[in-house]
Amino acid sequence: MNNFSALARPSPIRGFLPWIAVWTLIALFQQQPPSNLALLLILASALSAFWWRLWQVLAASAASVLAFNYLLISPRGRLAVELREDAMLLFTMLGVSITIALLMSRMRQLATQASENAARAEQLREISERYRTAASPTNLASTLQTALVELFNCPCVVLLNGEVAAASSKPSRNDRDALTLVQKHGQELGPATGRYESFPGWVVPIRGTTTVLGAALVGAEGNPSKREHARALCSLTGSTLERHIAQQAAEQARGEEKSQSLRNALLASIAHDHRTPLATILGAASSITEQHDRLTADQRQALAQTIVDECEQLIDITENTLQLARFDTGKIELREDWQSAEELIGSAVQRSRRRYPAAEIRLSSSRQLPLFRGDGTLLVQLLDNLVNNAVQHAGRFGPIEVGAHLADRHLHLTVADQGPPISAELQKRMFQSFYRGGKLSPGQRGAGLGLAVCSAIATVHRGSLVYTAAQPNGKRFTLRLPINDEPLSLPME
Amino acid sequence: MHRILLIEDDSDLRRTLRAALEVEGFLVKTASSAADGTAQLRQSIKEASIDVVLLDLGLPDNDGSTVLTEARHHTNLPVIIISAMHEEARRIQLLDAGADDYLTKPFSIPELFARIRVALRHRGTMVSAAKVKYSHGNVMVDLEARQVSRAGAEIKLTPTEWNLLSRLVRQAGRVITHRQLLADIWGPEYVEHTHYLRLYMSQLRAKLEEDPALPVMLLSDTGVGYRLAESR
Repeated sequence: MNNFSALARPSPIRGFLPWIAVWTLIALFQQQPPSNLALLLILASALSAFWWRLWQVLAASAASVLAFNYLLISPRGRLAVELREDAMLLFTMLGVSITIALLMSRMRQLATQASENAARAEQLREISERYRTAASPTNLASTLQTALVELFNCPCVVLLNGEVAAASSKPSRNDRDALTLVQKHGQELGPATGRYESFPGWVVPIRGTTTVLGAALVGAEGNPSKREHARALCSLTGSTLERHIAQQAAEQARGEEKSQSLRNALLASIAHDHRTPLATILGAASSITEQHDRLTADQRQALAQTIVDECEQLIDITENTLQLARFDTGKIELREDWQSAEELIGSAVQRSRRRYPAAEIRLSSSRQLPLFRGDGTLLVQLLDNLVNNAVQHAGRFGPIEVGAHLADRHLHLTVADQGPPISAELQKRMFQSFYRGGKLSPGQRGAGLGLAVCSAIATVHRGSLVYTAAQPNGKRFTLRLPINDEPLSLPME
Repeated sequence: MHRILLIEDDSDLRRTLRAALEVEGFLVKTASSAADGTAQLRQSIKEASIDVVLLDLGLPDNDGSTVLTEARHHTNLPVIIISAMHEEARRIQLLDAGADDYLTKPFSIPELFARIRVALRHRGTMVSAAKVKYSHGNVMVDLEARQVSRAGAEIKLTPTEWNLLSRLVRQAGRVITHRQLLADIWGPEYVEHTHYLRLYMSQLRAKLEEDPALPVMLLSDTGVGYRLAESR
């Protein structure tokens, strides 16, 4: 159909050519029987229909038939027709010419229509493609507005959710009222719509599948096929906008669900991990108050010490829980500075010796380790968690060893104990934040919590926490940190 | 008889601390807000009736900086700040603004007494002329004679090492933030050069500590600064 349209472009001059050619031929072959020559005229009529409008072809055909009659049908020189065959011939000639002209005209109309439809379908497809990647309602509005301006060749205003989202120029009060009315009622208004016919413009609603989301105002030109296309554009815009709104709602719901699930995990953690130390503290404290006179000084001292120990446990668990929650919600700010591995390891060992005077905690650190960038407070927390875990769960199996050394361009901070290795099942989950479920004792849960925080700290330092089991017994946790290769500017002495 | 102004909004903590301090022989005045604390402080400064201030940073009406400003404006009364565990930035900020030392909640009573003791000994941020001699274990430092010895033998320090050591000695027992040390020893343009500190502290430890990896004298308050152990 496209080729036909290209071929059949209206052109008054070309339309004359077939007639000229044919009449020349008729003049040359006028001795031929009229029926033969009649066919030539029909050919001319058909050919000229390619380039002439319907009325032009009809007029030319009628004129040709009359001329034919006058010139070639006996009696020549007069419009009367003698023989019945000749009359039939003339009649048929005219009939065929008219038919062909009508058919051609219709074909041309259909071709134009089809190419218009194709163009509109293409536009809808293109806009639909653009909408797929459009980020915001403002983009949608301006795309729609541009398309409508192109279609109707006049200024356009687009209203979305009660606000003017795109406009060729500032809309008048009347225009805004009309748009708002259409958004409210979901019905078109303007000429040929049955509502407010005197309004100087056509307003069409922008509908989603269930609600009206906006309206568009264009000129009052009443071409039905253009209006149909405009409706299609608005409907497309409406459903895209609706999809956006639904997506946003879904994302918000997901966000809320995530924070809800974090809240639940925190509550569960607090419920499980805080109750046991609290129960112990209450037991010891109430014992001191209730049974004060019946307890020896040593017994009271022991109970008081229990309270102190359990409180320290509780502090650890609380801090780890809070840190994990902060890591989970991205609220950790890394405060990086130059750190000395020897210093960090040394103070970790000293702290843990003060806290667990009965435990054997050894230090094995290489000297002259390079300085590295890290957050001192977080690294302290990591080392303390690892050492506390080691002392509490494996202290009775042998000495705990804390160390630092350089290997394959990474700094390794290690905490090793002589206790039993961790089961494969637990290994899979032990670094997970808030590992829930499974049959863990409160002590194991506390250790898991500590490990989860250590893992998060390792990640935030662009390093990793590695677990290795030693043979035949024992295990080691290693913090691997990448070493900055650039040389440090040193002070002049 | 030492007198403490305790500015703490949590009534249970206030009660517990007051009880523990009174057992040790302190006279305790309390305030439960920054406004109340500042008013009492002003009065106490006028009457010279307070020896040390304990200031909680978690007060409902202010983060404590107004109280500190008030204290530093009129006097060099020692101020010990109490902060929560992950508030390094604020803690360091207030230490740089003139607070003498800090405690992290939750803290134990022995820790509290240790800090108070040191603060009272120094009585404020001004350099005390009397602090010219320091000793810890078998290390002896004489600021006047510019000498340091260990187990009787003199130790040679580079000029920068000496500056660092004497700065720490002058505030023995109290923390000095990284920034303060860098500014005082190398200059204000060097406050971000923490690696200098790490290097020089490591050198000092190597020369003066029994076991440089487990220092007992040249201590580090991770994330805050360094402190020299109290003279012993």
